[in-house]
Amino acid sequence: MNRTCISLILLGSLVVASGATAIQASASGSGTLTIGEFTPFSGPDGSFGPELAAGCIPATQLINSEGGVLGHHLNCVEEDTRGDPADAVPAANKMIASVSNLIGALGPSSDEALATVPILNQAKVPMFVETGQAAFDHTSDKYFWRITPADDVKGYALALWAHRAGYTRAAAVFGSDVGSQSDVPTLLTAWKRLGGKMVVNQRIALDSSSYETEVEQLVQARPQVIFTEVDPQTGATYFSELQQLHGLIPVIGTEVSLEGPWLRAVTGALGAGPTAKYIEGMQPYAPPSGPAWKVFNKALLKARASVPSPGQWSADPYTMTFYDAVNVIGLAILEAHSTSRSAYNQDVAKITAPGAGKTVVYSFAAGKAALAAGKKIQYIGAGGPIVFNRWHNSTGAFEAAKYVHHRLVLVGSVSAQQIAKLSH
Amino acid sequence: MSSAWQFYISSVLIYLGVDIMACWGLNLQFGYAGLVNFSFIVFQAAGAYTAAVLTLGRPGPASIQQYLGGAHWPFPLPVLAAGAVGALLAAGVGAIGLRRLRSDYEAMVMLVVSLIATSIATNQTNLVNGANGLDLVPKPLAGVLHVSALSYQWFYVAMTAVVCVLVFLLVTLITGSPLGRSLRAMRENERAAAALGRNVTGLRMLAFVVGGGIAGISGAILVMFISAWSPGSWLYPETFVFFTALIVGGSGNNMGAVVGAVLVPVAFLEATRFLPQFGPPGFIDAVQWIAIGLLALVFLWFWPRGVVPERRRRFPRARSQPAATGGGRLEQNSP
Repeated sequence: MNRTCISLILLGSLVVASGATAIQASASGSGTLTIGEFTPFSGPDGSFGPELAAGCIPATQLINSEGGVLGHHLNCVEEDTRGDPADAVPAANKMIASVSNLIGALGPSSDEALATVPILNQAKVPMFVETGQAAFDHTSDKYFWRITPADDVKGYALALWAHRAGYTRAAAVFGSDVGSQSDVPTLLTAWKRLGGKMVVNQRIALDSSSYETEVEQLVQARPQVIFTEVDPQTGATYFSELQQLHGLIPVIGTEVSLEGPWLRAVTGALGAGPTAKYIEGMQPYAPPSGPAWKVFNKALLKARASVPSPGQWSADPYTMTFYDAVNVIGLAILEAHSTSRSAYNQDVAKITAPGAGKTVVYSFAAGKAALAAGKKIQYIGAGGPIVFNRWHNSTGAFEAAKYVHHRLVLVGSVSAQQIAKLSH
Repeated sequence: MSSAWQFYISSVLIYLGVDIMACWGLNLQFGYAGLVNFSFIVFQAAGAYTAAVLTLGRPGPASIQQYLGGAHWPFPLPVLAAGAVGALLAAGVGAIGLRRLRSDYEAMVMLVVSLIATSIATNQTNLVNGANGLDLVPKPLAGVLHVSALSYQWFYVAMTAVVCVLVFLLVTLITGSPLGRSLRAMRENERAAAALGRNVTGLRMLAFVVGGGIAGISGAILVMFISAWSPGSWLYPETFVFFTALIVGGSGNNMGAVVGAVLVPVAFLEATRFLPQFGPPGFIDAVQWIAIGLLALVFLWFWPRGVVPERRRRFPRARSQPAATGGGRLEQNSP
């Protein structure tokens, strides 16, 4: 290939890059405020992106239909992290440098959070993360906000639910993988604080063909309840052997125990009746009901042109929290009377915190009207109340559910206040 | 220029340096020696994990991440160790995959090695913290320099450039020497090279090990910049980005590898970040890998020698210089 061709290719690359930048800049417009959807849109966790966008897009459309914030419209811009810290670092820097009027970010996820949260924080970009990593439980990053519960908060929820049921002797059966083990330290702490005794703590290798030894050890310890997070195959093998050797004991699992593959595997091994009788699971509480959810769902279904098959996200707790995050950004800007990121960041906690004399609002429109009337507000979102602690974490509530007649049935809940009280 | 743009441009320059090093490493294996190493990214990952573990220190029982070993080695020892581990791993893999297997079978083995390595790193959680990977890797000399974050970025650009120069000297030393000619001879016709007395297995191993070492160094430079590394960073398709870079830039010459690294992983992939949003969420990102594949196919079809083709070596005809060359060494001429 001659030099002309080389020059053409190089020139073409530059034209594509610069032209696209110009297109993006003009798409944002000078008066439009942009929220970056900073999460994987491709790669193994590529499903995170559409889930997040299904919250961001309806929220911005709803806010724009209410006249926007301080005369500005909002829009959402995808920024693919590809679920990989190596790709996410330049993506974060590119978003900060090139996105016009960037006022905040939704994300990052656990895949890239530890590598990119410092970059966003340094650039003073308020971020509403989806990572559950315990490393951020006591973060000092001013621009970090977490509405979804941290992974290790599940331990508190499990302990509280078992304590409420009157159990005092428990066993912990968790997989050896990092995700499962992240629940265990807080579970042990919480159970001890509640006066319970952990008679055995098993860290089991996943997907073995038999767990007879572990089951025998568990039976000898005589627990009244089993806390668990294991994968479907392990759960089916372990609990069917327990059923055969001793008989089942009540089980309280994490949200994994309420997922389809787990329920199918365990129900197949134990039978539908025993599964319904003995197995319960705890998951973040975001009921598809209530005034905030109705506004959210209506906006979501209306956004059909931008969100494919929007109904699939109606009951998704993560989609709800991202919708809430956009509303929080909009209301915080109104509260601060400024679109400056560092200015409105100080008001994020104010508009979500409960307080005497505050007007409770369930939508951006109601919040905007109340603020315009000079009232103080507490925004309660589609995902429920948002109560940030001093590390900008909002634990949220948890619900307990059972699998009865092939559907999940809510059997109770643990409030965010109860979890906060136990965790301090 | 705003500081935000400087952060972005300096990040891209660091990635460019890392990609250039990786392309040189792969070029040594594929471009010069003809080894189809579809597990190339594994050696970069090994270097990255090594550098991370050797700077993070020992994990405590309550640590948020668990991994084997751990130390606080000062810079640049983790980088050197990363190169050594990349080379040692290449020696191990090469001993199994290169001695008897050739072409398609060799490529298949390397692809399988890549898949096995990802699976082990993901599932053996105590090895390198499983799927969560390693985070909070300290940045080299950050505690000594006491400069602003932006100044440190530019310092890192300079440091990457220095390492690039050293790697370039190494690959030039090899490819410009009689050893380089032997590698090319082996690539063109292995039996003929063997008939001329060349130890082809030794040559293949040498190219593989040196390429693995360079990949390890590039991984170390990358991980110390981004502070994190996980299996998601080195899935097997990443290798094909480097192969595409070599195909586009021109394999078998170091300048072609540089041009390929500039055009594919940096210009092409970064340019797609700036494309305007259209279609459903994630649409542009989903077609990115398709675009990479098409780019490789188009170049293989229309410009198989790449943007900067390998210089053809020609030898003078025996008739033109019979006396001067008879029995002596052959001179190389440019085309």
